[in-house]
Amino acid sequence: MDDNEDLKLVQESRQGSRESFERLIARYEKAIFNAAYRILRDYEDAKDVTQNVFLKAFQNLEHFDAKHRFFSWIYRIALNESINLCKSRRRLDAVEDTRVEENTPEKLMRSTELGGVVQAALMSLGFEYRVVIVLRHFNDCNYQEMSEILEIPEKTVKSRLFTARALLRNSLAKKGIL
Amino acid sequence: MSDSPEKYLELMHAALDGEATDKELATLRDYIASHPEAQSAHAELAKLTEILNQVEELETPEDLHGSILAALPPRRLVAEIGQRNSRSRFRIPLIRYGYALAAGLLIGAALTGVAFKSLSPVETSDIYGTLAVRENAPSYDPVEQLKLDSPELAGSVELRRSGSNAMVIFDLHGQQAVEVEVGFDASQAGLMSFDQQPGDIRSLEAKKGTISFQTEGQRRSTVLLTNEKAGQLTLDLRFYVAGKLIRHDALAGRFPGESPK
Repeated sequence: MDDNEDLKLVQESRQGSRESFERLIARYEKAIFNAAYRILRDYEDAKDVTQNVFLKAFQNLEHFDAKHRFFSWIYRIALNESINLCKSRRRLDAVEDTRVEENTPEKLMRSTELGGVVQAALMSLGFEYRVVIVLRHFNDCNYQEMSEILEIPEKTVKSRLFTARALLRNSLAKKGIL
Repeated sequence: MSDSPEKYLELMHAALDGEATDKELATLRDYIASHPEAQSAHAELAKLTEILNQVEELETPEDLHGSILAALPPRRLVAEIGQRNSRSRFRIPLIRYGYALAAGLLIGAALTGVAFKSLSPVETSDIYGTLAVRENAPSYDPVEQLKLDSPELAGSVELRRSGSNAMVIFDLHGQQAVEVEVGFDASQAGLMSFDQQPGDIRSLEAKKGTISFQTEGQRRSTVLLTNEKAGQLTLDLRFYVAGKLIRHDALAGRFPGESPK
């Protein structure tokens, strides 16, 4: 996404343009929804989080610091919203899902089923590891962007991603994927 | 780089993430070529990445965009309507909640010449709407004035008093749109009416203890508050340009409070 275009839209939104804010929504709703779904594995919760993210962004546009990227800012809001939702439902810890164990290898290779298996494996990771996998592999963020979103040093991003992949690989191996 | 396997493993991750330099990639290629265990680790990592890449992106629910828009408060919409109104004076105002209707009725009364002091206070919160009233208030005495002389915003804000009513006159001159927020003790006072000169009908948002509106260029805006009880009325004034707080100040005065009916 074009950061300059984002900043322009943010500025216009601050000055009262709802149309500009709608364009920001159109730019990021899919990415935020996907990130929320991958973190929460609940379609309705992902919808709620996405809605809340844009509501909070709208209400706090004045506090957005133009030194940062808009997408980093709303991803940060999305993560906080997801954390809050997880906390409220006590789902912050890893959840081992066994439903997919019954899948046949043929079924598993179908993309939609593969998505389900990967999702189950993701849910077996702790929140901080799940998030880095989601940001890197489903939202295509680089280390610097992840560092900005998560507010942690790049070095920590790397080590967390390193561990997350090792855990995910083990989880997928248990499910017969790797 | 040291020759420890961990370092090369880290490099494999960086390479797969597109974060390794050409030099590092060349070093990694050499290392993998000469270390069979590294080949296996690299293949596993590549396979994991491939699997993750195969997972399809979800389409957003059909009703998501609409539900996000529906959830947004009307605040910025109010501003937008204010801009539209500058082109068309007699648009139907956006009014939410029954309280806004009450405000509208009060404004209507003011337009027909009813004295301000005969009006009931609109102390209720959550009023959104386009309000307008002629500035024909009689005999308001000056209480305190604030001068503004920054490059972004010049002019003055004056607090005046007439019985239990407080008039706040904003004579503002800003190059850009200025968002004005007036905070006050909601148990002390409530919004009575709002006006903006010259001519065009503008919008404001009033919540319990807060009134905000936008202004641009050279404009005179008036907010009328009524004090329900005797005491000090302090107005917390904040001025924002492009989302940045450029001035934060206060005006205050003692008011006798509304006479019991």
